[in-house]
Amino acid sequence: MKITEISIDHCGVWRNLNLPLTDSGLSVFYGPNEAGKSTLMRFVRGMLYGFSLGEKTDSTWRSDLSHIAGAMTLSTERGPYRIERRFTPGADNVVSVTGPNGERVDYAEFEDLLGGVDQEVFHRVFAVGLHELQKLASLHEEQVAEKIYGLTLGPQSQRVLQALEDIEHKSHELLSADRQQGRLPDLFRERDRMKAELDGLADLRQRHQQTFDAQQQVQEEINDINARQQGIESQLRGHLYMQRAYGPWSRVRELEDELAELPAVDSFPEDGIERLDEIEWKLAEAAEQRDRLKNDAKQRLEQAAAFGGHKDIAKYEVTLQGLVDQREWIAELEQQVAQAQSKYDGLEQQVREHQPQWGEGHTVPPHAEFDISPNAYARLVGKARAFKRAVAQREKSKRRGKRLTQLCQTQQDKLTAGLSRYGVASARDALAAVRQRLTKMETLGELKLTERELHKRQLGFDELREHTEIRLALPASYYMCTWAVAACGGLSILVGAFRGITNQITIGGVFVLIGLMLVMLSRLAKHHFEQGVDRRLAKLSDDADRNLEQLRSVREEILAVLGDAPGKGDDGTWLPEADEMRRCSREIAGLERLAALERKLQKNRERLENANNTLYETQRNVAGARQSWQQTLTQLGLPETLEVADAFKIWQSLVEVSHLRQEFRVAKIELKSRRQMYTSFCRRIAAVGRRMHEWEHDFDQPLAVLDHWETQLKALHSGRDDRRRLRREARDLAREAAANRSTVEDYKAQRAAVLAEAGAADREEFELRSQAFARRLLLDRQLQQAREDLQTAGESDHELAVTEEDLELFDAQHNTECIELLKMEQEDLRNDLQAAYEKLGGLRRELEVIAADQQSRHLRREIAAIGQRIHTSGTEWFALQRAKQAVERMRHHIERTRQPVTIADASRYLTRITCGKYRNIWTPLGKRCLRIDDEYGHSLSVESLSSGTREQLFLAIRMALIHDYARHGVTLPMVLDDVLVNFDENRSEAAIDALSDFSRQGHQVLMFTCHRHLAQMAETKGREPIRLSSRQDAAEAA
Amino acid sequence: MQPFRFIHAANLLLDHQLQQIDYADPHLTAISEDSTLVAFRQLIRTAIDEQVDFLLLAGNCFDAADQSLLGEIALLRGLQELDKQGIDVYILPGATDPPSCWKSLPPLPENTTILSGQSPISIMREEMVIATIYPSVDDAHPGHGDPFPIAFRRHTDFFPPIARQFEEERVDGPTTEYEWISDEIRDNTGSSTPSHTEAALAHVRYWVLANGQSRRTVYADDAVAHHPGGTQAISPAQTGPHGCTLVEVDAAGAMELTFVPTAAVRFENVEVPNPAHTDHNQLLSALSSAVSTIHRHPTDAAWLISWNVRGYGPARHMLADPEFQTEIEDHLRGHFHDMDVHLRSLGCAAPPTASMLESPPTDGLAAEYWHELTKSPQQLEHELEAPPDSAQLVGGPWEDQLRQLENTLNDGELLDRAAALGREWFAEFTEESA
Repeated sequence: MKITEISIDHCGVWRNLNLPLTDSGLSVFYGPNEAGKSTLMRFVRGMLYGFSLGEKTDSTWRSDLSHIAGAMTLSTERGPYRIERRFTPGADNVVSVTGPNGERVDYAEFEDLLGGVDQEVFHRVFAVGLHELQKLASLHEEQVAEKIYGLTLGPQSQRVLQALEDIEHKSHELLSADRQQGRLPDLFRERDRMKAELDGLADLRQRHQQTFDAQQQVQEEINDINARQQGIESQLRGHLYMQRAYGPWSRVRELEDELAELPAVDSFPEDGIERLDEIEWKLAEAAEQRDRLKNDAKQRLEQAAAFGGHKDIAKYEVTLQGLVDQREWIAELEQQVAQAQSKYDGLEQQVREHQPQWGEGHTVPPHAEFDISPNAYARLVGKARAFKRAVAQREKSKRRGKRLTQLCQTQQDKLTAGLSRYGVASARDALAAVRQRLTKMETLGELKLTERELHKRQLGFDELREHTEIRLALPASYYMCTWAVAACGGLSILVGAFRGITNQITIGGVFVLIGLMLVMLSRLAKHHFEQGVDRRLAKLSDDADRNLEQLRSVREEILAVLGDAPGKGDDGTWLPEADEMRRCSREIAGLERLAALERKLQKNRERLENANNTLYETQRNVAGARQSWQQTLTQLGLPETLEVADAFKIWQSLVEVSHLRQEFRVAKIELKSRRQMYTSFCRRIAAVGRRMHEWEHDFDQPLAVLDHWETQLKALHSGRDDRRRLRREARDLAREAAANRSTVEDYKAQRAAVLAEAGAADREEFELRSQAFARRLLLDRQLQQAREDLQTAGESDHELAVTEEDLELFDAQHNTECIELLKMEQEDLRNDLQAAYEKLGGLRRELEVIAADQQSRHLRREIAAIGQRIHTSGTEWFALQRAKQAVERMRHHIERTRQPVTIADASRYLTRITCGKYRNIWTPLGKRCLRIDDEYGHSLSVESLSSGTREQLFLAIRMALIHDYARHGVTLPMVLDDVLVNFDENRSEAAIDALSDFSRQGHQVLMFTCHRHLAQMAETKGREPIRLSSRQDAAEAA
Repeated sequence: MQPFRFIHAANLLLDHQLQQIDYADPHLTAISEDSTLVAFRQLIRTAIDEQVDFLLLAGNCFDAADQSLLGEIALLRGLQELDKQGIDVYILPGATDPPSCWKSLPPLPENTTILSGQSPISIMREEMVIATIYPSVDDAHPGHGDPFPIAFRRHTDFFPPIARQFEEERVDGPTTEYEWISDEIRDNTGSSTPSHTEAALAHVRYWVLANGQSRRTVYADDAVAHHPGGTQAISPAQTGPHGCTLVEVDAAGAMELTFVPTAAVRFENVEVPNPAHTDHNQLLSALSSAVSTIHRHPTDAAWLISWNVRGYGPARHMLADPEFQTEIEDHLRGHFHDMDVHLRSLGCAAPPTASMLESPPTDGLAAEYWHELTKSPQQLEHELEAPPDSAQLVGGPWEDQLRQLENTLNDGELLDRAAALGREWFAEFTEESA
């Protein structure tokens, strides 16, 4: 659709305007301010979409909307259309549309020509003024944004976006952005909880260990109780036996005593007393003969006794013979003692030689006994290990501290160098200052923008005032012409009067009158307009003053913002904000790195402090371990200044000395034992000698004494032969006496027979025995009974070895007390045993329960399962992060190379308008913002662009949008109201070229401008501008 | 010398829980929970059955962090059982069971010796020294005539300098072995003459490689360096059969090492072809063919199989589907029903990055995504307009855990997962475009 003619009956300043438009595409309308350009643009807009009095209508247009009437002729593919509208506030638009055939058509058919582009879109895209162009927000209408930001993305982009969403969603499920929520933290927490529970089960192991130890202890207790019980049972059995046996035994003893006291009378003959009297009388005669023979024999025997040898020798003959028989052994023993003595001396010498040589610090003399038991050795080793371990930990802490100090120093140097580069003391403070400066720069940029706008407005006011003043004076030619007309009329009257031609005089009079009337009218009009102009000039002055006031206040604000002149260049001029902002950005980046370094340094310092604390702790540990080590050395009798290796060397020497001492002690004991044996033998000899009263011998030389006694014994044996001879003679006499005393013997035999029969030795005894015989018979019976009782008591305990002495020492009361005590003890032990067995059973059950406890395994299984899940989730998360990087790179690539067509077109237009300075426009996928790449590939946001470039960007986007609409069959004219005013000369020319080329592609562009240079520029490009006269001209024309 | 035999085992990790086990499967849970204990019992039975002279446990008998009572009890019972049989046990504390942990245990039987001291220990039989253990390699100065010196060396410290004379590795069954090379070649390869200490260590007959994970054996002229691997694999990365080693030394001093399987649960990583076009049935057939090549040991009760797929092709896509795992398991159980082993599929194994790069997508957004995903840091540095790195771990209360987690992750696995996400987002587009 193209507008071919605009006819305005009444609209704002326009009355009866008829503007035929050429088909060249780009139409430039040039006219001064208030010439009605904006009104014309709004008229076009209103003709297409209707006029309305909305809340957003500005005041100027509101006043123009008092009455509108006009028509517009459109050229479309279907043919020409003409639309006529009439609008009166408070009433609907009166619309009349004439179709290609000259007949009126439905308004719907006209709306169809608009291709579905509503008034809002048209207002934002197709017909824009400088105000709409400057705002990005005006493009954020849904339909427009869809085209710009490509929300209807291509399938590839959709995939990439979906993939990123999927990554984000899955990553968030696994681990939230703040790293605190998600499946992985849940699993970490769960695993920590399980591990804590598992650590808690360490008590179970301790309990098992304790229970096991307790079981062992109880088992030992049981064994001990059993042993004690056996002992007590044995004792009790003994006591009971004693108790049982003592009665019969004492009875037996009493009876035996009584029997012993009684004469032994086994039997007693009948009529014994009478028979004995007769025999004794016969015996007395025979005895006298016998006594004589016996005396002879006795004499022989006495002679034999005189040859008995040394009495003491004979007395101790057997003992002496025994001692003499041991002579060889004692000689051998003497040699053994000598050998043991030499061995003893040798070892004593070795011990003395191997005595350790102490240096300083030994509190115990070297010859003292040292505790070299395994426990002492284990204690020494343990303390040495602990000491070495503490020293190693201290060295490790020292190394770590040194390393951290170096690291801190390096980082401090880097930080100092970096801070000195910026001339600040703290990166964080400097960062805040630079950020504040950046904020100021942004504020400054906005203020400068405002200042420029106000300044332009001020210039506009000046220009308007100038134009208005200029218009007040009519050109001199006008007056010359009017006076010329009047003069011509006068001349004509004179010529007519001279010639006498009446008509000529009349015509001259008319001309004179016309000239005079024109002069008068001009005077009247001048007077009339001067009054209006004066009012307008006063209004303009007021507006200009207000504007100037605003401008001044803005400039003051700018000066206030500049204040400490952070943006001043070296030459005193203000640096551009963009440069300053870029400088700030660079400084922020650098300072952020320094701040990060500062944080790292702080963290490392904290670590260093921790390391120092740890070092201090380890030093204390070393001191403690050293003290413990020294105490151990002191306890072991070693100098406390000893090093570990020296201590163990000394320990080794002490062990060797100890072994030598042990051997020495063994040799000593052996020597002592041999000597004791030898001495004992000597003592025995001395004792025998003393008993024999042989004091003259040296009993320390036992061999000499034995030799002497051997001689004595030999003499004794020779005397004994003589004695045997005399004894033989005495026996012969005795044999004769015996032969002579046969009678005596017979009588004696008879008496003895009688006595023997009675068991008596003599008559008195015979008589006593006669009395005792009866008593004995009684006692024998009692004794037999008592023995039987005693035997019965001993049958129950054959293994008991009870002696007579025990029974003799037996105390019944004490025994009873012992039995009671033992029984009580036995009962106690039985109870203890029962309790111990019960405890043992309980402990065994507990051990079985603990061993069967599956909680630990269950927990470990759970931990393993959680670990597995962590591994799976971790793999998923890290794979997602890797995938995210890849997809982000894909997205990055797509954003720059596969933008929507609209953006691609806009990039081309922008490149052209900015003369190649900005080359690419792109939108991050799925986001409603624009990024612009400059010629160096730097990506910039819209906000960071200058206002002129921003307007060029938005113009390019609108051109691309219109092109896209056209691609979809919607061709509506583009109406631009002074949108190039902020473009510099080059870019203005480039923009006009671009718009010109754009119009050649079939787009109609109506460009309004109040700037002559733009109109001239269009003219030089072959686009003849349509000049709109000012209202005064129009009024004058009217 | 007297012939003797001993068992060398390591990494018992008693009652340690296996990783990446599906605890929702009660049968597998029952097998895997006790697997380390079962392996230990099998070890004890083997020691008794073989009537060994001693048992050498070289590190990590348990994980102290587990605080497992069951593990302690099982260990003590096992040691007591060996004590009854008169078999000595020598235990080298490891990273997970440092000497301090052993001190906190209940009293160990008399047959057990913890090798934490410096002095060598003589192993006696019938009042004759049959071998000498040098717990500290620094103090190991065995003479030429010492009976069978045994010394310990960290796995990572063994190569070089001691084993600089060994040639390329050779895979043989579960053991990775090396062969001794001749003196001529050794002279040429050795850059410096062995020090006095090294010369003294040359008398060591049996090197116990400590602190390792996998089984490996290194042969020298008259010495062997060996790590038996764990008695039970703990994670899917520890693939193949696991067990202990029976070492038999004859009268001439010659050694013979025999692998004795003990593990009930076995992780396997099976290579699967990844052709350009395949369907479910073809893939299942390929999987069963691949599984059929695995030799089953009598102790195996469960096989947990990861599939190693090279490249970006359809097999990887199918195997990454969790629902397909059930189908795989049903198929394998049906195919190997007579094997009496519980089969589970763990899905795709984390592939090496190189294998992922073999067959990238070529069309559309998927190719673009793959291109961006596999860019090297150097490439990214050269890109002027690259967006900022978004994966930041700095801050938050879980920073340390996340960093630890990041260190445990496999680059190939992350790439695989990121590629799978890309398939989800962009693969259809390619097909639609096509």
